[in-house]
Amino acid sequence: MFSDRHRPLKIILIIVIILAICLYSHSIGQAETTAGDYVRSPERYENSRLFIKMWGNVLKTGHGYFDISIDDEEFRIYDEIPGIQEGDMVTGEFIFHSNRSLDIVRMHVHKYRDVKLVLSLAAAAAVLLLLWRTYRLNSSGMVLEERRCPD
Amino acid sequence: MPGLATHVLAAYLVRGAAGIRPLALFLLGTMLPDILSRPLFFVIPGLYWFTKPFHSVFVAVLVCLLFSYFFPEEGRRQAFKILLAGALLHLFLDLLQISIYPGYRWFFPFSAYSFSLGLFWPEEALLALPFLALASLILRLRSNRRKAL
Repeated sequence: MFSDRHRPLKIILIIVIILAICLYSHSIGQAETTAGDYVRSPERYENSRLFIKMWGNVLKTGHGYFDISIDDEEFRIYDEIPGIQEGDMVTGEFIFHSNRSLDIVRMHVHKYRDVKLVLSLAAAAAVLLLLWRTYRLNSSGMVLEERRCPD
Repeated sequence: MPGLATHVLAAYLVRGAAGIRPLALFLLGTMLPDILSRPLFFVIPGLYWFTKPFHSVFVAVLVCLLFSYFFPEEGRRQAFKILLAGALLHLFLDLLQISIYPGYRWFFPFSAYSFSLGLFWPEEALLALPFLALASLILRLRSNRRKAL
């Protein structure tokens, strides 16, 4: 399995399998209900549970309510969450009402998203630098050879 | 996800305890589930479901196998093991966090079964960063001192 025999073929085969799995996953995802489905058929989904699958964004906050965007659809939540601000990212489970309002079942406001993103990029850059210091690409065989082991 | 910085520092500490070498390969493995998925669906949110399998065990194995083919034949098996150890550490850390929907589907898209231990919210892992950084620094200093002796 780890030999050089048919190496290009093995690489192509693995890429094809991964892409096939990802495409299958994509097709499954397309079949899932989105917030848009709730908005297009409000009577059908009245009092149904609506989950944020990726993330929702807080668009506006006011006294006793705030608006969020889920899958590019706007909803109003009549509730007060301490510290919630425009631009915050939220995930949660809600009860949908046909007037495009939601009741919170469970909701979480993900704070410090920008900090997390910057730190993640810094960590990725540091690891890529370490990889570059550790390996060099042998262009003839498309193989990473160890320069030295800095650790 | 707890954030790449947390993943990388945790991997650095685990690697120190387990003596895994080379470090760069282990850290690459621990980043793979995120660097192959997040940039894609942050830029194109429609690819969310397309990238979801990168956080499943089966695809993690395939990705590590794929990357291992870019290492010399004699060290390929070892490279695969180190990459996979890093990727599994990543998935283990993700297992610890709270997720409302759909949770972590470990065998997606072949199974919708999801499971997480729900110990902390993803951004709460940031609180652990200073401690992880300090522990990593102590480990590095001890390692340097041992080398100097």
